[in-house]
Amino acid sequence: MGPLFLDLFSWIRYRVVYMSVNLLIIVTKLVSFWIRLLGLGSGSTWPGEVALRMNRRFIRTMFNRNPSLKTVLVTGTNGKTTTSRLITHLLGQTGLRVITNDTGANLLNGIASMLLTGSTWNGRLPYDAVVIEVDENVLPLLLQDVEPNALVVLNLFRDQLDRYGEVNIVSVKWENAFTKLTKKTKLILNGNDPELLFLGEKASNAAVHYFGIPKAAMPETKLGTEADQIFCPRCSHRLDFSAIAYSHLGSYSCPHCGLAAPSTIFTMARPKTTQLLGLFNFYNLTAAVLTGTLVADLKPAEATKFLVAVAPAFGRQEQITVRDRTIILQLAKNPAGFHQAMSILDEIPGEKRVVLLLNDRIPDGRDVSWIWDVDFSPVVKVAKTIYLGGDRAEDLALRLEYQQGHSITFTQEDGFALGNNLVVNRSLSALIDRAIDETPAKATLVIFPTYSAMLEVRQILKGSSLNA
Amino acid sequence: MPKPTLTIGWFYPDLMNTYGDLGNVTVLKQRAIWAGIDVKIRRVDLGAVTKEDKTIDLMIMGGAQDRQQAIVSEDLLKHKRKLIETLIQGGTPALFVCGAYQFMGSHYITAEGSVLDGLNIFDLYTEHPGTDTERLVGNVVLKSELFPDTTIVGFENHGGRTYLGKGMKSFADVVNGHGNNGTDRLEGVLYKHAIGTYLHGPLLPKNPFIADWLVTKAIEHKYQQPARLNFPSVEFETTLRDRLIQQIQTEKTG
Repeated sequence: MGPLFLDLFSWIRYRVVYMSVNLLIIVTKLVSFWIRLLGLGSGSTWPGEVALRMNRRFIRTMFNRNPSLKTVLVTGTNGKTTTSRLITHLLGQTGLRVITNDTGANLLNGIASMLLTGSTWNGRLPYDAVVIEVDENVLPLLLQDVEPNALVVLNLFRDQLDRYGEVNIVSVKWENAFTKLTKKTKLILNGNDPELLFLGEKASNAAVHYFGIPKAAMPETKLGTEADQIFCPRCSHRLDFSAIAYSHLGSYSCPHCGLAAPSTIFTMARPKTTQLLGLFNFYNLTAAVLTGTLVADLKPAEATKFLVAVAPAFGRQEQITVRDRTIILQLAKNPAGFHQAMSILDEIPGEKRVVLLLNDRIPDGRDVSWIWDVDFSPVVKVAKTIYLGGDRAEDLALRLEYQQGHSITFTQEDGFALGNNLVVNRSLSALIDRAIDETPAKATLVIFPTYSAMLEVRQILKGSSLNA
Repeated sequence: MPKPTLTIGWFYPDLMNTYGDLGNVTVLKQRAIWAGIDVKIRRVDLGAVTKEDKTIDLMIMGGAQDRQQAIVSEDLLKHKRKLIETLIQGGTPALFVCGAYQFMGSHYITAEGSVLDGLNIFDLYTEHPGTDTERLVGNVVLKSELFPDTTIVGFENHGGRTYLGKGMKSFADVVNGHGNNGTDRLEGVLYKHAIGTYLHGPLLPKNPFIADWLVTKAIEHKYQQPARLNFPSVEFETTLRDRLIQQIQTEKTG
């Protein structure tokens, strides 16, 4: 009698969960429809937020209902959005129907919203593959709900420490999550990152593959101020770097315990791209190509061909023309990312003006101490005038004056603070307007914003007010 | 009169540098140069103390993550204790931020409950109440007796709660934020000319008077006479600080 009762109880509970997911889908789709119809805003994460609050197992249920869906997760500190985009494009080129969370909503509510948007009324996802950009902190949670076919991990840098505590906390959480992976999951890791190599060794049950860039492509031999993991994650001895790509990515070995990337690490020649500049994008492209070979049976050369014409995602080397000036927008939100972002200045011909935008809102990280770990000399070298804006523009002003050894004296004029070669205004629209005005016709205006500033400045640039 | 010289001892620059700590060193060095001083930065790393290390006029040490802190802790106890003790007790000015501040205490109780020895230079200890408790994070506004005419602004981010021993003076009182432990409204420690604090920001760029104080004390201690140093105007930083403080107060009540 007992076991029968338990079975009945489980069956009822299962049906309730099953039904409530259908109900959730219906309700959220209807409400989304009306919101869009009435033009009340896109709000890309609320449907997922509602779904998860009503049913914690919503994401798990959706994946259980779509077992033949090829799942690719992409995570890391920098490069998630670009690499997800590249992989999505690649899989699409092989004829697969792919769904992805391309708005950058990479927390659980954003992922759930993507599943809701793409699903039919009874929870079927009419796609062959799903490519999900996942926030580093959320990855362990998502891995409780889905066993992916591939998990791509690009890098682990110091970023938004105030939000995540410390880099080590994230890697410890990942370590725990990775030990639970099975052979079903191809774990695709950046072997040039010592921390990720160490994590790969710990994931003893997954199918681990490493990617990197050729040593000849690594320009540095000394570690910069933005590097944060220079000690062996296995034995804490100082690592030997024979070459460095950027930050702590490079060709390394531990003289004490021998930690080093295996000879099977996948590398390729740098493809010629007109967009996707910078060494960091060489890594993103390589990760995407390896994923293409492992998930879609592509040959590396084929995969590369499909990718070289891909345009960057919003805010990543995005080119916008306003009042006949070419403006390039490149997201920069932590020391490693900033150094890489600035490297594109060398690859842009002609005269340049530079705008730096620093906000301290939740998506940017509330603490701005990190700007003191950035060496701004690439900007100082190429830009006659540097425009500084955002909530914390004055912090940038202090930083840049100390960088250049200038005395901290500013004159005030029409709401702008003017230094030697600095123009400061917290208001983005006023600052951008002036920067565009003062940029000569053939010159390029390069804007490096933190995340929320990037969203704001895109709206300003794409809106009609400045196009007159 | 020959140009005064200053040797800044930057302890563990590769290990204890999580958090913009380089900014503190940059500001100290530059403001001293602007005041007409010849500055040398001496990097003090792992291993035995050298003769040159003993000529340090000003000490600075930042914070680090757990793995790096474990490496440093061992080295401090094994090689650096006597040097740091001698310098501090002798009146050499110092700035210890976050992890460094904790190390100077008597002990640190980790999240798992194990007890780690500190250098026991300051009578204080730190306890991490466990990974389930909230970290003390956010914008901070302080008032310090040391700088009565102004306010200090920064950002804290720590799991450890620090408790000062009887008779130990705090660096400042908390106007906004958590401070040492979120309960006694005290921040940091001030012992002779050594400042321990949890404040990032980093501390010195927006609060340059602290840098000027450290440099002045260093010169006076070195040359055994009052120093009249001309530091540049801090008008810009003062305006910035005032605006940030207003914003922080608004956020608190808003």
